Amino acid sequence: MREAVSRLGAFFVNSFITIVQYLNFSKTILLKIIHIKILNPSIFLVFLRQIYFTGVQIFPIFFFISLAIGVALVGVLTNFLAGLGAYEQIGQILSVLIIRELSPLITAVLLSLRSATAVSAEIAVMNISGEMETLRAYNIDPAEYLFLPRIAAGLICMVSLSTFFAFISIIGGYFLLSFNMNITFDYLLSLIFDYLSFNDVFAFVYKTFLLGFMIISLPIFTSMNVKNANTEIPIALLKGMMRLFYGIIFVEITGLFI
Amino acid sequence: MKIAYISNFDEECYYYDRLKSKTQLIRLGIIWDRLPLISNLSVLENIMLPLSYHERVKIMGKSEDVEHELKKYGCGDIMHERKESLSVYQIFITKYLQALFYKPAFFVFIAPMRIFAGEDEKNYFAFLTEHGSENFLILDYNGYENKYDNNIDYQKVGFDEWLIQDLKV
Repeated sequence: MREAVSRLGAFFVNSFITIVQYLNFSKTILLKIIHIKILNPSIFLVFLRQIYFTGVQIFPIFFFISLAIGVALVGVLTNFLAGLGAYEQIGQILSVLIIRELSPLITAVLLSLRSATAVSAEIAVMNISGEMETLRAYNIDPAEYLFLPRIAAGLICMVSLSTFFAFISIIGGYFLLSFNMNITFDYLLSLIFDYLSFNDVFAFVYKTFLLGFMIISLPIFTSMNVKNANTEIPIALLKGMMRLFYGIIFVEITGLFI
Repeated sequence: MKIAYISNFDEECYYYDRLKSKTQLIRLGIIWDRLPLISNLSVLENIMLPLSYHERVKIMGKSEDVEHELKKYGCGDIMHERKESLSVYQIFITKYLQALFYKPAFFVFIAPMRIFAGEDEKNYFAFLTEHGSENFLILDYNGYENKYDNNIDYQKVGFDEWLIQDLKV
């Protein structure tokens, strides 16, 4: 019993220390964003590349997924609401489901699977291979040169891809609705905008910005602990992805209060 | 050109740590196999990285200068390559040019002979003979002393003595 309590205590203390360290790390990055360090040519080059890797390369599959989810969701919803005789509620349900909930969540999941893992492994390998030390030998701050452009790119891609997701899903849904119920696009948009509240928009902004920051910063923060052995890389990847998972849950739960 | 001889790996790391502590005060170009090139950057980007970061110089604006320097060392065709496709000597030259473009007060080569063999070793001594200067310090293992004696003219110094007399920090 005593051992169990001490283990539980150690877990909470370690978790608290990790959270404080991550908040300090986040503060460092945010200060660098505020000081517009990203305009340094060497950093800006990394930033552009990360935008390409994170936001552009994913685009074809992202387009397909957004469209498929839009069509599937509207298909299920219209059948369900028509059965209840309440298909006029579709605007409200679409705005809440797609804009507020699904677009940030699905974009976060896709970016986590694709970019967060890659960045995590990249930083861990750079630590082990000594490339991080090369930067320090030339007084190049890794937080500025490596972390800042990756996190900024993740944030921008998250916001823009989430917005894009909402758009494409609604358009995909519209095609189905126009066939099933002869609804015009204007009418669908008016249904959505009539029900779209400031809170929904704020929840969307809150989730996309916070998730966008976490998606790259949490794996980087975890990979920074990799020091010597190759065996540390999968452990860092696993830890980073689990922390990201907790981060997504945190954002989803706090988003409920908006 | 000055050489300070070392005898073991701990000494190598200790001297690097001491040099690194001085880099806040004075620009040093440290060429060491423990400081690899950045693998996701090309040779051009690696060479320009310290200068671009510290002096906000656009990389493409200096590509002709970099190409000219690379050609001087017989490496004109590697500018857009990444480190995986470079030979040991080409990596050495890239690191040297990275330091050169950074405009350091001193170049410090740590244990360079460890990485060279055969033709690369000849190229290394040819490089030192042709381009070696007063602001070069080589920290290398005392087992290579004969090779240095037979191939180049240099002044033997102690590391601490060099720190006081040359680095003056």
